[in-house]
Amino acid sequence: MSLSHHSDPTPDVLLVQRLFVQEISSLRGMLWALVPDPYRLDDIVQETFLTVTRKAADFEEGTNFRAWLFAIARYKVLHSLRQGALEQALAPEVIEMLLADAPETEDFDERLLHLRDCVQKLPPQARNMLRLRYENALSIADVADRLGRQVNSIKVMLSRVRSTLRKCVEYAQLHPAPKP
Amino acid sequence: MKPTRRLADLIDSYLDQRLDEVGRFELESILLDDAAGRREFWRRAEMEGLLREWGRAQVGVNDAACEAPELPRAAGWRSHWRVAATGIAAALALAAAFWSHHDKLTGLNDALARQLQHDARLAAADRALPDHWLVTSKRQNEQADLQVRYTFDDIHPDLLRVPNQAAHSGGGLDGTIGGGAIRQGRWSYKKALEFDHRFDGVRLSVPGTYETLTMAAWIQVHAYDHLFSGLFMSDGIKPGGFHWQIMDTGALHIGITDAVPGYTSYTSPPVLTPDTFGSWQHVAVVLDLPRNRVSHYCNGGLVSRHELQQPMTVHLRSAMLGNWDALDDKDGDMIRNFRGRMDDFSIYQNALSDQEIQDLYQQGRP
Repeated sequence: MSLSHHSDPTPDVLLVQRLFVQEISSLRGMLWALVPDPYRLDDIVQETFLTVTRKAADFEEGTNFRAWLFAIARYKVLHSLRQGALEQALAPEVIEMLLADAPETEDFDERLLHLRDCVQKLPPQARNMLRLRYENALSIADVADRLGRQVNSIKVMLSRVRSTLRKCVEYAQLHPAPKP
Repeated sequence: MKPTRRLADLIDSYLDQRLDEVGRFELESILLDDAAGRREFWRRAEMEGLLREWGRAQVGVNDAACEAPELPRAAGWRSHWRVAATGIAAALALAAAFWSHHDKLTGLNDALARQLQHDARLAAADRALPDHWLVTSKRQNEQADLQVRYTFDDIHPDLLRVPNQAAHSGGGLDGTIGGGAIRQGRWSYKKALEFDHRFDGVRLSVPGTYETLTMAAWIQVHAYDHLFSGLFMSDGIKPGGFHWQIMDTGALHIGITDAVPGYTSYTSPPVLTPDTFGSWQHVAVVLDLPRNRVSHYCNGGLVSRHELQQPMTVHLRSAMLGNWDALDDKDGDMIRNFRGRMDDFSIYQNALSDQEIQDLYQQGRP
């Protein structure tokens, strides 16, 4: 498997790479739940990218790119599991069942935009907690430490905030703001 | 089966990476048996995925435009790591005692109590570990010849400023984060800046000219994507510019720009080879014009010493840590972003001795 940086990429390769970049957030969004280790997750995204590039000629323009991409990514996750490279992950048979039931998220980017607005509406304290957890990637224990709170109370607050955000994003999707 | 409160708790704990063995087993058996449980899993997991991607987008310059060209990396040089578990027996015992007492008070269930004990152990180890370092680190900040000291511990997430901790530098030498992520440093309580993306780096501007100069840093290399990975890089190629970088062989490299366009360089044998990837390494370089030499150090030891070919006072000016702003220089090696972490960086305006470099290493080793 070699990627030449010197020869010009074929139109097939340019097409799938462009589509890949469009889907990368939703791909990562789906993988987070299965691959808790961010570095393994990066590896899987990277390996998926390489495979997609290598198999670019197999993709037919106009067919569902997301389905094709996600199928390749799922294969990569299962492959990593079989190699025992995913510590802290759920058992392989559970992951297989979850993968079979994984929702085809069509509107990930749209919901990411809604999420941004929803986070702005949170009280500053909750927003601060989210930033420590998700932007600075601190563990729950570190977040608790920074905010001078008990680990358990951070856990409860995070659960509540997530459920508030879930409702907010769902509401925003059902009630799109009138276009100016 | 309707999703229960218990299932929701289990899923959330899993997503928070706080689920212990018992809980994981319970979650797995529910997910295996119950399609409604799996739907609930995805419902909650999707929000987690959204939040993680939201968090990523908040840090540095993670826009899609710069993500694309970065992806095809040389797989052979990639090396990932797991942060080694650390602990001190006394702290563990103390924490366990505290939490078993706490458990009695609150009547938490066993699985949760075990998890809390685990967290308390980590938190106790966190606080206990850097004590010896905090003392010596403070002493370092008081050194009269120290110009710049960044430890990356006190970065305000909104300002992206790296405060200069050198006590006698006269101020004004704070760094500005152009991109990067705050990650764990040498100890779990210590922060580091991770450079990963093409445009990650810290900007700083250091006035004055130097006849003697020492730079030292604690770094963790993750990969070499280019011939050169910049540690401290004066902008462009200007007379007196100073370029401290690592070559893709793992050799330490100093380049000093001459008055007339030209560049003299001093390269050590390879030291930061791929087997060191992911572990903390102390690197230092000493420029000593009066003695007419440049010396490279790795983990406290002298690696190589070079006679100056073209003695030249150094003029650091505006520069970057972890990256290079080539300005209008368009040569083939203009991309020099460093991929790895840095959790300590200093510039001294004097030439530290072999012993002083050794001391810096001993005081800071993880």
